[in-house]
Amino acid sequence: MGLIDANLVPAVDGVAFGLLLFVAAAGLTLAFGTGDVLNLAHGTLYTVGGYSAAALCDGTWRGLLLALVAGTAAAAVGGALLAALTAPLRRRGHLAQALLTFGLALIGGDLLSSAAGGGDLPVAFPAALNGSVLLAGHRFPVHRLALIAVAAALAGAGQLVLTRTRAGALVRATVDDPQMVSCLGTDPRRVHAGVLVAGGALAGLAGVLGAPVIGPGPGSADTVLLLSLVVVVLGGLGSVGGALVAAVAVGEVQTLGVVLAPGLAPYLLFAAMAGALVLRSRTPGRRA
Amino acid sequence: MLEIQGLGAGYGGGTVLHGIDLTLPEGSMHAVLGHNGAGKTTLLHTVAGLVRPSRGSVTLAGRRLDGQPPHRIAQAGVGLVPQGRRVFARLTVAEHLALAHRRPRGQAAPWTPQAVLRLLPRLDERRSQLGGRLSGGEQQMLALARALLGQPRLLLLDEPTEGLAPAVADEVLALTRRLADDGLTVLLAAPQLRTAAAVAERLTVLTAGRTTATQDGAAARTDPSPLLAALSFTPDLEATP
Repeated sequence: MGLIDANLVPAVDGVAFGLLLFVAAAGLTLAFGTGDVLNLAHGTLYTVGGYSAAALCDGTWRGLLLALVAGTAAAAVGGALLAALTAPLRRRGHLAQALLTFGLALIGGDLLSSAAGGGDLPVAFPAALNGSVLLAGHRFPVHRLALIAVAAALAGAGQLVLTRTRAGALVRATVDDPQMVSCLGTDPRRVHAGVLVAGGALAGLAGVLGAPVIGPGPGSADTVLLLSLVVVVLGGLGSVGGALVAAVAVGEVQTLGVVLAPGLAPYLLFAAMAGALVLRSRTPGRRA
Repeated sequence: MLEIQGLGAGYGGGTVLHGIDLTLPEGSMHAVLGHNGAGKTTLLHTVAGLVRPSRGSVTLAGRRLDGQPPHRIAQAGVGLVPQGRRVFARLTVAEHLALAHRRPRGQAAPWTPQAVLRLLPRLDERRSQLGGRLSGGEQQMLALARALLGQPRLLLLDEPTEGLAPAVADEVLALTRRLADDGLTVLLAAPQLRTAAAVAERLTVLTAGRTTATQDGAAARTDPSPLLAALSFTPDLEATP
């Protein structure tokens, strides 16, 4: 009991971090599932949201709202751009796509950080989000609790769209068998483009929401891409449910793991990923 | 209705089809016979647009289909029931039907999910089941329902009785025969001569990507020797149920 009590704050922090990663990585896993495109510019879409937050957040709720709208919209446009640019490379395999999206990530990252001045940028959230509240004898940062609520709501809404709507069924069908989707009269490339736009929007939204966790800066795109890739690999390519579990696990390793085993935490993530890959190579993977 | 002329196709440089000619009148069923690797699936996939033809033409009701992407060909009225069924494992039966239901503007759209379920009542009982949880026979019915909801004028059936119990296989074939009687044009790929001859108006044997024999269904039911000769009398072909 004492151990749980002592580590409750980092554990809650880990849930917040994990859900943020899930919102950021959901689009990456679905884009891979529907289009077989591994989008290495995905972290850059997150930073588009982060830089929007830095530019538009002025400590007021209005500024935050503006940043949420602008960051989401700009990252959605980024997703559309990626869809248009990767479309001609579909038949060329993963290496060509990885090179293109990686190149776009480098260019986009450079443009963003040179426009913003290079260093890590502060983001001024409304004062109410910067404080902490006393719950069950512990002080929790308000931002993390709000992040958990918003990200959980987003995850729930996303799950509803995916499981209860025709568009969601189309996405799941495309993950399963894009050829058969085309035989039903729907161009799977359009489904894939839609997923890239929606996934980009989610990554941008995460970039604004998560600015106090992984803020805008020259290294943030790489951090988000790397963690998202870990989430996608651990959760199973194309699997949203798996990504959710994996994201929370990664969040806990990054927060609770650092508190409990500071020496091991940096290796734990990649050990888990290697373990998942070895395991998956023996059992056929489940998807979406 | 369907006119296939000099159709050639293959994968990655290797040619599988060497100039196929077939003509299917409206409302007829044409069976393509042949061993594994003879090119039956490639022929159906090329008509459906999943394989790009290297030469020749495919014309459906006067409209050229060759070279078009599969979704355009589906919109033009071609439905595919693929080998191995390929139902979406993680979608329910009801989701399959909703997703497959097309209502093209300015065209007849007789098939609705309700109409399909009346034709295939067993699917009605399984509406909330996932595609991957259905029996082989139910998956075959679902694959057929999915194709019909696209409002096809031409139905491509790739070994629809494969892996089914004989009674279910007969049911599937009788059903397709009824669809053809109602005006649907059907191109059937089948490994067994006897079952195909029972339902098809015309039969063609494919050997290594070439048509080597063709016969009317009525003639094949009394004396299929030209087809058997083309199939080289392979005994296991007739022995398989």
